Amino acid sequence: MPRELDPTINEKSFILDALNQKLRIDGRDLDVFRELELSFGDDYGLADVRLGKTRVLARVSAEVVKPFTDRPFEGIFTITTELGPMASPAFEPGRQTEQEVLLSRLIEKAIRRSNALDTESLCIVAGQKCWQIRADVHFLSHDGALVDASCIAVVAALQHFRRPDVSIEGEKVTIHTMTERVPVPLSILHVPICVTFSFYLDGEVCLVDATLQEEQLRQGDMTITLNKFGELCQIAKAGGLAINALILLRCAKIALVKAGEIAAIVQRRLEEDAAVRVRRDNLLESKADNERA
Amino acid sequence: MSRYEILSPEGLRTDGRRWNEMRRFSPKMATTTAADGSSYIEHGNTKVICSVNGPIEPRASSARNSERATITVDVCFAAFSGTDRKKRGKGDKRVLEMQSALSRTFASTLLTILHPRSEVHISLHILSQDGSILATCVNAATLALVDAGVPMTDYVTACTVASYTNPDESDEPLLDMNSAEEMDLPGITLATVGRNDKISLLQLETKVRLERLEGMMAVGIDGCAKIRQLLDRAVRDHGNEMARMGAL
Amino acid sequence: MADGSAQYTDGPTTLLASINGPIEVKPRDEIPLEAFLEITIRPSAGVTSVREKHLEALLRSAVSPLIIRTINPRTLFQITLQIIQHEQVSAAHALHTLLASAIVVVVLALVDAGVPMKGMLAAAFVEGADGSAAHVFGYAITGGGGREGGGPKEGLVFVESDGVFDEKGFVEASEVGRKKCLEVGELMKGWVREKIGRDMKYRLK
Repeated sequence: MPRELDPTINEKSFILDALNQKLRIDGRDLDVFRELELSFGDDYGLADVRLGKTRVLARVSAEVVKPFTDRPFEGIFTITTELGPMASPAFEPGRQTEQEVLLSRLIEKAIRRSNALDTESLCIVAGQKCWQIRADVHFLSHDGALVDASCIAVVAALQHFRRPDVSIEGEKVTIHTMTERVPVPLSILHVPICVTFSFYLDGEVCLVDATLQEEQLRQGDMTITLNKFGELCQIAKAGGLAINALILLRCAKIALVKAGEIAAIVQRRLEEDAAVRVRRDNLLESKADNERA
Repeated sequence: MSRYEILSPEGLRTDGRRWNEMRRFSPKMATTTAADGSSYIEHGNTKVICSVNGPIEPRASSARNSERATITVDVCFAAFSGTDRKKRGKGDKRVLEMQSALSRTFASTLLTILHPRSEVHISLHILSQDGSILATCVNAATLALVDAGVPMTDYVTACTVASYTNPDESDEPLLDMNSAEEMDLPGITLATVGRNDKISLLQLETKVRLERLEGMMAVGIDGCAKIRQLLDRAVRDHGNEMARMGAL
Repeated sequence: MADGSAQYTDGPTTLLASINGPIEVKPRDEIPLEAFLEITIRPSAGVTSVREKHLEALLRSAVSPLIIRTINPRTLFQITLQIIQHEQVSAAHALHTLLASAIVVVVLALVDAGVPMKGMLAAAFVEGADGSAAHVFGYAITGGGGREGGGPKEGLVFVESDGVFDEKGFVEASEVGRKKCLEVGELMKGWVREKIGRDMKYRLK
């Protein structure tokens, strides 16, 4: 299979020399993210995240299923990720590589295991019916920071998603179509944001949001997931260069600031999108408000 | 919270330890002759056996790197190791993640550059699970690598730390989690390299306040230093024994 | 990061295609005298099903005659099509509306990737008068550059029909399809021109 192109020796020495002088080849400061572009689809639950040349799409969908027998009061939430040849020809379709397993585990831990989505609110009839929320993550272009971008995409898509309203009369469950009743948003408990640090030069230089080239040259990396309340959801530093504890703690503090910034951008874009929708579907939305009041 | 108290008002944990006490840690070196290096570690009720083969000719062409040795890790949970008898397949994502974490941890500590185009294979079998599994695997692998004589810069040692919330909302780090504590408390697994306390592996999988991280890491680093002493003693004892037997 | 890509939105349908190639091919797939064409279609939500596989086969029959595969023997062209959103306007013909857009976006991506081609193909979806039939027409929109036998001249090269229809209905539909295709074709040419204009800005001065 074609391998990812390694940086040449010239590129390598150029990038590392520059980092030694605290410079990055795209002119960013060491602790600055690339510009985050977030857009939503016409449907609910489609988020398109661009971080420089990295592009990740998350699509959330819902269907009614039977809950797991050991968890009758909870809905089901799954996240699927698949690295295809679209992101890079090095990724073969249909075969899971180690990188892919690590990536999906990381996103799983960051979002699902930290209970970002309240699965109990997805229960319709205990033990009988519940919502299954499915987030499909598509990697469209790979230029580093896949974890960070996909985490943003998933949390944005989850917040953007609306599921059909349900009413229960005795044993009878009615699922109302989107036009019949205003669809309801999911209950999101917190918004986890992943920040990946890349370490160079024996830990003296640490970057956030590394590009693919920077990722290929790094000596070690660490992904910290936290929300704006300062709750750590997950830390993954799996080997790589050994780093001083104080540097790691400093990284955690930087991550907290970044998580706040990113969550704010996501929030702002969601509000902008909601405003556009209200204008476009004026009638429908205003009716809903009246009903609730 | 659970039925029993994780930390009693007297400051004792369920198994009678204080907050900074580790369970009994008994490392054994060179337990089998079939591999180049081997070890067996009992950490409380967690038991791990490890064997190392290498540097050897790579078994798969994907493990051949013309610049350095490749480290491959196999982790195998015995079906009888947990409370429920269940088989964990090769494809289990958690196992794959552990293997990759171990391989990357040792890749940065072993002098892989000395053995290009070869493979160092670490095989870990978990015979009994009672918390701190990944940490015990790291310790067992370190000891087996020393036994195998694979060139490395220093000991890699690991331990776990939990964060306990007192009834008055203050927090207390607890060194070395057993499985009951692992179920109920958030905690980190942390591995340090050598004496200068640099951290090569840090894992957290449950939600915890950011402010608590520092305290947990400080306790964890001390714990790793302690384990380092214990491993070092095991290595020296083994060396002396070998000398006494006339092997050297 | 791919060698060529294109995104196309047609009403409620948004598709993204990317092309890699010519690249190394797995020995299993290697064809001695031709390039191997790998087409992968990925749904927006859920896993790849028979629907996507069927679409892959249709798409293959539409685009593979366009590509001059003998120029790069023993290589691989990787075509990946991601369905970003596709609202099912008429559920019965969802596949056909998708197919028309898919052909357009893949052809554009192939042009962007610089894959040697005999010509471009524009496609359009036409629904029969009573909604019982669906047709997808593909028209070659550029000739072989004047050379004899270089490729298809402008004309119908691809038809995929489904449902119940008679000869009269088909002829009517094909007339609508021809007009639509030529419209789409003009748009496609415009996009390609625009793209070349942007890419070659420094040269055209």
